[in-house]
Amino acid sequence: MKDNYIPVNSDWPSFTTPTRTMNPVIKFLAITLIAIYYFIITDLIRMYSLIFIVLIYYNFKSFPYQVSKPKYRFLIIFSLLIFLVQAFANNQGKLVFYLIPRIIEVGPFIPIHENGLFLGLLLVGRFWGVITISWVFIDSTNPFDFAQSLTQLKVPYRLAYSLSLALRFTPVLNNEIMTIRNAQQTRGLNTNPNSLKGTFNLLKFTLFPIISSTLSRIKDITLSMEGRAFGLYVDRTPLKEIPFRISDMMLYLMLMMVLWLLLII
Amino acid sequence: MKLNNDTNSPDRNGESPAHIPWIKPELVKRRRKNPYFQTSDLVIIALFSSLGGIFSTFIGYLANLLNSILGIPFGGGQVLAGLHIFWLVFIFLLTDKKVGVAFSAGVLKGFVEFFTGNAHGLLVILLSSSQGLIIELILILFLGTKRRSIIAIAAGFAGLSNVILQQLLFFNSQIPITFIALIGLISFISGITLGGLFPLSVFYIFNRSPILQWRKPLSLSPRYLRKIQAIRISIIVILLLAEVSVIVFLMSQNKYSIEITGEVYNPYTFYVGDFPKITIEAELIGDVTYVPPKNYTGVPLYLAIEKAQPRLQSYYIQLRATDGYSVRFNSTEVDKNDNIIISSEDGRLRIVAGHYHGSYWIKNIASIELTALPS
Repeated sequence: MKDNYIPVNSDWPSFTTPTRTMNPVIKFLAITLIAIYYFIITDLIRMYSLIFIVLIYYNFKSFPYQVSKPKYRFLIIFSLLIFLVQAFANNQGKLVFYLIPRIIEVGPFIPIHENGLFLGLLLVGRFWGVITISWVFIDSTNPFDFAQSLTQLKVPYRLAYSLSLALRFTPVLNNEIMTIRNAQQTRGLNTNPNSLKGTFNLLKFTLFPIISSTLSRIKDITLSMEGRAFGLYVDRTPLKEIPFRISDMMLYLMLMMVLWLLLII
Repeated sequence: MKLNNDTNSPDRNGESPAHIPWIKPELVKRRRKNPYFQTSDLVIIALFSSLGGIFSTFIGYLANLLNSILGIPFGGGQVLAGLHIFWLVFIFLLTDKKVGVAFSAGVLKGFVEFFTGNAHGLLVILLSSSQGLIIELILILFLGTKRRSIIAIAAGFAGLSNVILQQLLFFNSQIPITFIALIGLISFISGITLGGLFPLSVFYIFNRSPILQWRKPLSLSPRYLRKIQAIRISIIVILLLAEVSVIVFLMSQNKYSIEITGEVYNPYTFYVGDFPKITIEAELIGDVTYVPPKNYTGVPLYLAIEKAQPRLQSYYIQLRATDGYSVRFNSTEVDKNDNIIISSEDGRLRIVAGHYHGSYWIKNIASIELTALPS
């Protein structure tokens, strides 16, 4: 997934999938439900089967997002960390093995118990479960449709519009940061994010210029919006209606039932 | 430039649309009366939340680099936790300390991070919203004091919430409390400095510059102040009620309970204090742990089972701990066996199983379930 990347409409492939046609708000509720399910179940086979199915579905077609290598690296390191912390810290159950075996009268050290392994896998499963289901959501949801869908649910359009505005300006502000960063680099400043000093410099020397430019931008946008009488009326006519279909509701209820059955059986 | 939002103002031709005869009444939209958030507030929240979301990526890189340099798996990055709070406090200051701004910014920042593919997925919304909510709650209570210290402390607690939530979600095992406290302290200090004092300084710099002069300073109306006072009183009452509830809950739990369910006629909640206790001598021999023989006091397991009135002659007794670990005894092993007791130790219940392998000495028991033997 490219960092700070919001796809514009032209980035969306022409094909449709069940997740893409689903109402964004209902879809958001559905993934929240699945995330909660991941935090409730303790059956590793069911948990990892579900993650596997979601991953297969995610990779089934090419989506506008692609998970970047550094992000995958972070996810793997974080998962490993969760696993190791549980494996080292939990000493209930039978001893499975020693991480450092006995070598010539020294050791063994760091015993790993079965419950430590179980908990490690459980929490890694939770983490990956939430991440993968989030990928499916953001891959199949146009964020602006999500904001519009919120408005149709009687969320005040001024607030829902803030979400659209924030998402709309993410790539713009990101480009601006890059411009400032390039300007600093041409002056000989190290702003390479792969080094500690570079990242620190990036934060330090980018912060004030970007705040200043954002404040100017805020002034322009506010005057422009007020000039168009934004917020004058209680209701706002949407450019595009996001339908709330019965089939979406049925799908959501079915999902609730399936998860409930998976919990009790 | 300020738009006239007066609902009674006439249109260009001097008439309100509602009075134009050829416009159908259902087409005449309702006009909004003075909205709580001005348009500029909304734009400030949106754009700075967006900026906060973008900067989180860089902060994440920096945190990972710090962890790598320090050679520790996690915790080092908490030094920078305050930078996530920076934007929430800065937005709060820019919008003249309006109630609801920090929380809205937290939610919005969370959504921006979520949609831009944050590595925590859906959870980033929860983390970011919690930070905003904590700032909001603390500042509502002390709004009006205009003390920098209050804002800094609120930011400190918001930083701390990050550690607590992550601990609850992913590290809820047996990590030493001292280590967690240390990381929590680092986050708290980072929140105070980078999340509280730093945005205050930045705000004062920009506030003196002409860049913010176009915004009219907010004059708090008596009605607004009354609302704030009402919210403040409500929060205090809710906090007091929550505290009383927690105390009552803890007092009801002080007898240490276990749910006994399954193939029984009388499922019930077991309390140590309801049964006679015995003292046994036992020796813990585990694969790694060894505790020499010593005395343990507790309730024999079979007494707890007998009270539940098992439906079957022979059955399994499944004991499950709070962390999910479980062990199983056969009913024949437990019946009239004084060597298996439920003992209360350090505020938790555990099984002391004399003459059994250490893996049967289960800690933190949450439930006991009786199940049928395979036919």
